[in-house]
Amino acid sequence: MTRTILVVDDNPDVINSLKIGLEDATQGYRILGAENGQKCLKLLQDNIIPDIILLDIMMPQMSGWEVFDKIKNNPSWNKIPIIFLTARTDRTAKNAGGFLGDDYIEKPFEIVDLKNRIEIVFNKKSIIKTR
Amino acid sequence: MNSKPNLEGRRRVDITSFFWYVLSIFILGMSVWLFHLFFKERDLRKLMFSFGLLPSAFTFVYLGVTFPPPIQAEPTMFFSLFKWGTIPIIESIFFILGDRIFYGKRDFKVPFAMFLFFYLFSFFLLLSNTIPEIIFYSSIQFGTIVILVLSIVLIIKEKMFSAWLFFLSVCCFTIAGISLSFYMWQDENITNTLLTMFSFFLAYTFLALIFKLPASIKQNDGIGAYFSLEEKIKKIEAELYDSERKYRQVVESLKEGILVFDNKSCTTYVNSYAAQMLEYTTNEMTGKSFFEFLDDSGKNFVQEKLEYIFDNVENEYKIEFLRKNKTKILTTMHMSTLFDNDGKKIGILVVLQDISYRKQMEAALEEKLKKLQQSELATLNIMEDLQNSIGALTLAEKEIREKNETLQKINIELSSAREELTILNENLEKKVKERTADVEKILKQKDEFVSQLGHDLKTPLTPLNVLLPIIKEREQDPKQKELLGTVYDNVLYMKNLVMKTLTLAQLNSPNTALSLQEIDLSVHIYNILDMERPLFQGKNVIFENNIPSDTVVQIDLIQIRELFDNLISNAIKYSQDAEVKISFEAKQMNDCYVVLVKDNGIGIEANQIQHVFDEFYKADYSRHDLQSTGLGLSICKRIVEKHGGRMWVESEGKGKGTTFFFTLKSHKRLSGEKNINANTNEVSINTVL
Repeated sequence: MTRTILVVDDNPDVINSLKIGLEDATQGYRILGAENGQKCLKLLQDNIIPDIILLDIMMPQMSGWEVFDKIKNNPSWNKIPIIFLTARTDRTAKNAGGFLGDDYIEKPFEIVDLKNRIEIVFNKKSIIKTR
Repeated sequence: MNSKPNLEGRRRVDITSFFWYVLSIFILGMSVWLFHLFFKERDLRKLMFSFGLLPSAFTFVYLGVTFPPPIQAEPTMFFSLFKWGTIPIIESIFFILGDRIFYGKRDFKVPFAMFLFFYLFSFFLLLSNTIPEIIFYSSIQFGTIVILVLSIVLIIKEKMFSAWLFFLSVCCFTIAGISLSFYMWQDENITNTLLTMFSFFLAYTFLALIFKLPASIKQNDGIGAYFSLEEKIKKIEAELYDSERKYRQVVESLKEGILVFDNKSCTTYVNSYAAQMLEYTTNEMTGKSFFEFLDDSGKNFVQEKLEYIFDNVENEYKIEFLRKNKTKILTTMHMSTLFDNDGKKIGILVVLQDISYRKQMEAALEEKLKKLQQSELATLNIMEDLQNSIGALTLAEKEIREKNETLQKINIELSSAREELTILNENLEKKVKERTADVEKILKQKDEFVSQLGHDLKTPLTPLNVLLPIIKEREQDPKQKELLGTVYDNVLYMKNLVMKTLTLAQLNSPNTALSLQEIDLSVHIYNILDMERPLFQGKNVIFENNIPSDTVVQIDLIQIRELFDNLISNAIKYSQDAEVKISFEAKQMNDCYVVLVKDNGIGIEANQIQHVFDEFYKADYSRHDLQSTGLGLSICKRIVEKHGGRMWVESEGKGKGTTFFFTLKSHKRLSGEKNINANTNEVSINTVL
């Protein structure tokens, strides 16, 4: 089963590296990229609905928060899980990322770590087995 | 209507008009005169009459213009003023009579205020034309009757000439009014007109007379006297009598003899003390010549002096008087001339003081003085001796003074030095403050710089971090692969360094506040492990949770996760066996929990144990290990300290594992404290009750 992942980040290198990294690590991921919030919303409006969105917070023009707000307020999009990608370490970003979104991951991250988080979101189940 | 009577009428009207105008001017003059009197005497009664008379002028001007007055009321303002003119004069007389009969005080403010009110009230009523004719005329008649009655009452009560004048004036007004009203119903004729005008003239003359009665009638002086002076005189007489009595008492009680004799040296007044001094009675002395109380030399002396004291100069002499039994008494005599109001000399006032006793005292004093002089001589000798010793003392004193001066100088120097010190101190404080501010500013800038740098480094690290392992994976050449591995390790190290530096910078910043939550650590530990799963996934790690349930602590979730992240990664990093065992424990101690994180790793040597929390400290053997930034434990310690706790580490030595301890504030302690507070409150309430 092919899963579509939309990466929204103003740095195209990040999008490209994720494309390569995620597609390489797991079979069955299709990576889409959007360089800003408008492009992301445009894709959604064109009815390209991804299975998960990786959303950068600090972007010029339209911040990640705004994009998040727009997506979550649209009834046909608000089921899409969102993981925040952030370079910010401050509490607001962490809190909002963790509690508003489905998860957040701090840049720079290990591709494995990101993949795990994505899988967790997809599976939506507790992973604690080890005691 | 033929033209002839009309013509005659016209001519007569001209003469009549002239008389009305004259009357009007007469009244105007009277009003102005009364106003002038008011300014001179400040008697409100005069002001009232001045106001009261003024509108009558309108009446007569109107009568001069349209005589005879129309039978039907004209709806013009001029007519209203004509009608109004009669009211104030009746009001004035009513208030003055009423005040005189019923009130009788010197203060006329209340009646005047009432007068002003009715004055204006009637003015507006008539101008607004709301009173029917019948009410107007009958109220004027009623008012006239009332003031007639009042003036009769006044005549009976006071039996004064001015009361008669009031009565006559009111009568004349009544006659004038009745004769004027005849025109309303009958033809005009010359007798009637003359009667009206003459009555008015008489009425106002009588009124004027009240205010300025000729002095020959001597019913005091005009209305001022009539209505206020009389009272004043009675009061003044009483006051005079009172004060006279007071003065008499004072004079009688004086311990000085007082004697008055007139121009013919006949004694007219003697006070009791004077009589007592000369051993007469007051009655015996009055009427006798003043010189009878003196001997011959005294007589000559006084006669001589009398020539000089006729001007108002006061003089005092020592003189001997003769008592009734012809013995002498020494006195000081004080004479002054008495004058009447016109400045005519009417006599001499003599004040006597008995100084015979004083004389005796003086003699005694002299005796004592003599004795004193004798003793003074003796004293002088002693003084001489004393002076010698004083000379010696003066020398010593001089020395002391000099020493004192030196001391003072030193003191001044000291105080100036102290001032300088204060100034220096102030400057120092200022400088310290400035420096502190600078340092704080620089520290803040440092924090800002570190966090900015961190953020800027993080984004470009992301693609490196993602892509390098992939490239390394795809590389076939094992040599290249190894090189790529080195690059990737360094990138990872850089990433860790950046992240930990940022975290530490944030923990050091005073602006970072904790958002504390109460949570059961025994349960929350699973959440933490859930989140930290990427750390140990694929590794053989066994966790052991020995934290007792209901270990409720106050923690910041994000920072506690960071703490555990560091401790767990540390335990994994420094493991020696294939199987990593990490156990968590918690013990309650007083007001907090001590949490233990125990591993079975390589342990820490005793000489390193004190350094493990230092920033950038790495144990020797791992100094080149790219996985360690040397910041992890510093971060842990800062986090615990931010929570108000303590962190320390124990290890039994190399290869024996490590145990990290940290304290977290317990939730139960807080509730316990609250309970204690509640109890103390109750206790204090009970004591109050």
